[in-house]
Amino acid sequence: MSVKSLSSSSLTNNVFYRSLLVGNDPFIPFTAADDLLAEVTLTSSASSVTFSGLGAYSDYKHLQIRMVSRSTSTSGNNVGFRMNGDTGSNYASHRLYGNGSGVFPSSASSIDKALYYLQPISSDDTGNFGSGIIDLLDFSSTSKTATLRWMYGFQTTNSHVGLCSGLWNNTAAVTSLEIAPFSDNFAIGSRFSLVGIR
Amino acid sequence: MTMTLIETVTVGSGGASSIEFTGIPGTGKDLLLVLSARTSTGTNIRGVSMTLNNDTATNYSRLRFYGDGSSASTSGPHSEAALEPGYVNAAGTTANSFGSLSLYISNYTSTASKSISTDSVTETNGTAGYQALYANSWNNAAAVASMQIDVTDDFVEHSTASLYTIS
Repeated sequence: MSVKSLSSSSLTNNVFYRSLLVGNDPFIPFTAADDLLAEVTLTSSASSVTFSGLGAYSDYKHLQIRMVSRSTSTSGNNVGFRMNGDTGSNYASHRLYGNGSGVFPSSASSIDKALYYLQPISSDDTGNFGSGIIDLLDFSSTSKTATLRWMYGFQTTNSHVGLCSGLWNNTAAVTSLEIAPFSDNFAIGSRFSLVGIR
Repeated sequence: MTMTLIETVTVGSGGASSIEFTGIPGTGKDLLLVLSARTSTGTNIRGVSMTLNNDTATNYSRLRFYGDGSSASTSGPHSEAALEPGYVNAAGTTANSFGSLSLYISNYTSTASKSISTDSVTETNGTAGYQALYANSWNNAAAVASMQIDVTDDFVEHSTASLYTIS
């Protein structure tokens, strides 16, 4: 954008401007479409992490959770998702994952949480965390059930990579999201970032 | 990385046979489309069809890997007259459930072929929920300036599509 000088374009040339922009383009502040809304990094192990008060973010269209996590459990690597504190059998999940030796699709319906997000357990390589990105589109809509879509992966002694989904069969706006391992806790250092997308 | 919203399209009452983005600015490096959609007919899923710059010649190719809740399959690469970026919910799935799809076009202003990766899911309270990964390409030297998104029959009301530049 070329900038017109006030002294050369309006005062000395006797040009009449109705705006103090004196013919310059208006400056429109840049707004990024994505913002970090909240972040939790565990300094002690925790049985769950909950993002609540999501109704305050209704000026965002979509939400995304970026997870880096590990379980303290010796055997259980599953993580579940619940919305708005609903513990009823109002969820379903589907997955497609591989572990280096095969490809495994599966499904579950009328369950009490969305599932199939996996993470390393305590017997896996020390300090190795799994990562995943979970998308929740149109989270404020009251015309849609909530569909979570996520990819996750980790490379340890027990490796997984997967594309999965979860249904909360309720058309209420999502106002809270709980993330919890099926057994034991998330390990220290696990991180959960809530991102809003316009 | 900077993510900038170009436009969100929301399908209104009565549905829409297609969704189109035009006048896509060439100011980014990559494009990201997210689609939350459901169709007015069908049983479990409908494949989404997409053209770029209204190009309907056989300039697209795709490789697919997907699961349907009980089996997994892969196919391609195929040469096609349109992209198939993934699936959305059809009318026979759980009421008010919409498919969730993410599509990424790398270097969309490049004069080389464009690489396009997608992941999509459809959810339903039953066995037949789909997860699909696609690798697509568009063999065309033009910058992506418009995007036409179609399904068999209509997108239902409340379907949304958001397009972003990534730079």
